[in-house]
Amino acid sequence: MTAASLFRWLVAVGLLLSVSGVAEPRAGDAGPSEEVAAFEVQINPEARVKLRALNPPQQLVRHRSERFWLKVHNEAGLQSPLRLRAFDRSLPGAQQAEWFRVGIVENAESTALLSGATTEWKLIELRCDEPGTRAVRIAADAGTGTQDLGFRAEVDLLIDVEERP
Amino acid sequence: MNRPTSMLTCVGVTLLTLCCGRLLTAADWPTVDAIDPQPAAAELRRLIETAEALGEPLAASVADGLDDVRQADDATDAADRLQALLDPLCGLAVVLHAESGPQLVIPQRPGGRAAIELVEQGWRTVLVKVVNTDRLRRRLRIESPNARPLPHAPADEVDARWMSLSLYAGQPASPSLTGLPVEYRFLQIFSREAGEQQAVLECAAPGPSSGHGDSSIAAEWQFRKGTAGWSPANQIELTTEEGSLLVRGTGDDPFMISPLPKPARAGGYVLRFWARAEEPGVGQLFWQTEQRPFPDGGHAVSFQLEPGQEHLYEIAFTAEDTLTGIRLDPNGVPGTMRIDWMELASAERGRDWAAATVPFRTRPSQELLFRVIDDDDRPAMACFEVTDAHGRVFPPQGKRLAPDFFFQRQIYRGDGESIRLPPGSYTIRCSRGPESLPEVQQITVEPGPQEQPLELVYRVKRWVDPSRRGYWSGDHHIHAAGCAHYENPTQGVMPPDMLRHCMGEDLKVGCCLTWGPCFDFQKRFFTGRLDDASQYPYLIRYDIEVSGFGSHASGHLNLLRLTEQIPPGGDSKNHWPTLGLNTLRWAKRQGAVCGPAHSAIGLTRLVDRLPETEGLDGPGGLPTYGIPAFDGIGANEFIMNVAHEVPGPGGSPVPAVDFISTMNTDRTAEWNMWYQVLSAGLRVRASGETDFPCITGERVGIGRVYVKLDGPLVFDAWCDGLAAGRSYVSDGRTHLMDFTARCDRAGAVRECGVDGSEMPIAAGDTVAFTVDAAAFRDTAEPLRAELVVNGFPVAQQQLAADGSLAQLTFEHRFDRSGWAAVRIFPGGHTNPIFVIADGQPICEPRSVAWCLRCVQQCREAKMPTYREDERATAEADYDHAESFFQSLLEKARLP
Repeated sequence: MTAASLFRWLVAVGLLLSVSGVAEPRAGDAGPSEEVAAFEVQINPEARVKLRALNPPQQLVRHRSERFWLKVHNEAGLQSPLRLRAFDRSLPGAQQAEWFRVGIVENAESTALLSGATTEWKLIELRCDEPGTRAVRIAADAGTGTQDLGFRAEVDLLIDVEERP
Repeated sequence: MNRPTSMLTCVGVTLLTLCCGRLLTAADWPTVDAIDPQPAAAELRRLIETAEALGEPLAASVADGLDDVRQADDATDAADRLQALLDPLCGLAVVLHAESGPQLVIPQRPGGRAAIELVEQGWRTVLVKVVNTDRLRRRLRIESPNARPLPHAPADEVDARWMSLSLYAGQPASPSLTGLPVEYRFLQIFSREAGEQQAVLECAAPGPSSGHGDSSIAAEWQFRKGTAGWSPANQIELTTEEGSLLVRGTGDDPFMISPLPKPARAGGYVLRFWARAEEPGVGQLFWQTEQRPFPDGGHAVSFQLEPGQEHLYEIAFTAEDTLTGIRLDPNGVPGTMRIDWMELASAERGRDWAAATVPFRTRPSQELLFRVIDDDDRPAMACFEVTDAHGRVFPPQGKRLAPDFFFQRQIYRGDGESIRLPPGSYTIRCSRGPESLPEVQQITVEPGPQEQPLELVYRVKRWVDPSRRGYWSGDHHIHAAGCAHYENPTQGVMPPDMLRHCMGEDLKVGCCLTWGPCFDFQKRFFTGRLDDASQYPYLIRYDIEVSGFGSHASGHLNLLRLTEQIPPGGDSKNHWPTLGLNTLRWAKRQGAVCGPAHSAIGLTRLVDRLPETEGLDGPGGLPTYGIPAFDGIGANEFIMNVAHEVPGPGGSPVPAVDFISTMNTDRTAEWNMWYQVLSAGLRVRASGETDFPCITGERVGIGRVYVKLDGPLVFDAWCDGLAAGRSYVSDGRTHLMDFTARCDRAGAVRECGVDGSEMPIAAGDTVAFTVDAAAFRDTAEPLRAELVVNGFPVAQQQLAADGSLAQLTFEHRFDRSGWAAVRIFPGGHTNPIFVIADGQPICEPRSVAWCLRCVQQCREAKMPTYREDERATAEADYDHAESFFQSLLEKARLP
């Protein structure tokens, strides 16, 4: 991480923390700690994308967006947009979960575009509009060329969604 | 046979029955009362997907029940429906509790406890119900003393260790329990021999709350972030790399030590570690206790090293009092060892383990012998997909090692080779590459001893054989390591494995490209010539794809026919240039044949458009004047490289790039890049690739190039033909042979790929083009073959997709110079013939302007990827490319 990007990142963290309350990654020589990452994306040199749940949320509040950290290892140096989608696993085929929203936070300091750096962090937002226990499949892709074998760019979550107090 | 219950089994049952969780009777089959319909249906769907991935599909009635579960009235109804569907299929149930030990339940069937059916020398999958009302999200473990390894086993336990177990936790299953109150898991079981058997199955979901004395794991060491507590103590060096501990003994008594994170109570322990030792010898384990803080010969156990291979070492010992640390002597001589992980487990299960004795019945298997005869009556290799009446794939995918690939359903077997199958009915789909006519055979394996093995005779029938016309198929981009391949127990697969797959797909040339993963292992197969495994006319050769190192971020490069594998300055992958053109300078000096890989990556997101080109794109956006983002690893820096010549083997300049890869990425984007540079006057040829098993692991040769040679297949000549464009690219089911141009007025005939593919005419001449075409599809719809001139279709013909060969003829009047080729989108494309009118070069102004704008876009995107010490060269190289296209543009716009 260059000094400039670290500064931008810290600014972004500061801005975003003020609205989201998300735990701040630990910066320093060792880089941010993986312990605060909810998910991890690995893009191998051939642009194959893997998504892994590190410390995924187990609870959400209905109709409330919550922010989490996504750590990206970009061995391919891709500069394309990283996209997250949510699918309803209970439905046949690949049908989007209309009741679940997932995406990378887009604002002046955060973008879905990959920088090309080997490691970078993205803030993501999750929101569920249905109460109860819900199973959702999150999928990641980085544009064309992320053709995948099997299920490596997907992760399944089981989330308890509470009504808003 | 009836296997006597061994001492090990007795001890296991006694111990576990006495000290572990309760055993339930079969009448206590566990159920849950409620589960929300949506996650219940999702669980069912994941189970169906997992079964498919394992090649063990569930009955159709289960899939049919998905809607029923999702549309359940409420949580109670959903739980009832889910369990009614799946419980009858279960061979076992596990009940978990957060605070007390787990329970194992065997279902009751009419006549008593049901024996689980297994297959001799094969793997079977057993469905396990997991009732998890406390919603634990821990890792479930199911193990057995009967599944312990045979190497180092006490002699009296060899008979009892008749099985292997593996609880499937790969995708689409989750590694840990999901937290649903009920879920289902697949347990894979291997049986060594036929007969009636029993085994002790043990299960646990140990968690952090178990605490000292409850969990069976006393310590774990993983090396992602350092040596995890291990310290070099004597004549030893410890480093970590890619999550492994690298141990180098420098003397005759090397050893390392680690304290336990928490002292462990007295008792039996097993130290397990997965390691590869390079030298033969004997290792030793010492242990320290509170009473004996210094290791001594009375507290040591030796173990034999298995040099040159990955191995699971399991070393049992007993601590007489509280265990505080261990010492490992990796060998008695200097040497190296790589350790991937270590764990110290209690040999006596804690309270968080349960066990039950489970009956099994293993059916004997029979040998199925393959007889494969090609259409010239020679023995051959072919592709077989074997499924039984339940749709289960054989051999089981989840347990395959090379030459069978776990990510494929099919296997490749040659004449005289065999597999073993249990009694039953099977459907076997036979093929030998896309040029063969697939056929399906049914066989029945009878129970009981057979005098002769069952034979399956497959006589290959082809709908086309381009090799009889001198066209030799090849895939210039396949890998023997990385992506879908495993890195353990071997670092990728070996040359004979790759050759087998090429032969089975009737792929004559396979270019195995070594790249990032396993580079230092796979690089040993580079010889600068054909691999010794080659069997004419099936040739494999090891070369390089720049991927995962060097200039990969600006676009991967396929480097074929190298004489040196690695540039001067190092012996691995860390010192390569970051500027692709510098890599090409080194490679072309050797006479290599080079081009970008998976071309469309980075070209599909359009960020701009050439001014005044709205509405001018070709049909379907091919060609397009939209400007790609150049944000990926395909033909990106390519747009700058094509403007360059670099020194060839004799020092004289040659084009920096020979070909562009096609047939495995977005066809419109990859062909658009090719069309635009051709229309700018450059003479880059197309080649076909798969990038197996990264873009796809389905099979090698999905994307191909067919190169015409006048004599027998010789790799060097094949590469020359590829670079000269005496070829066509194809999906294997589309063939466009002997593309030829004729101009009667000029009295000229030109075959594609001969004499530079150049056809001189006078402006206004009409040129006739012919191509011998054949295609095979499942549909009766005819295909559209198009003549493309300067990127735009100008004429078309219908081609029946029934495999019949037809000569197609097209005509076009050339008022100016242009390139011409025939395509059948998206399955095949000839290389171009360059029609030169009045000696004027091909130069389409819009294409030149597009190339110029793309160089600028690529420069902006890729400059940060170049190392500082190459930045000045990169700037100069981009300057040159801009000047090159600018100069062309000025010439093109002259009246």
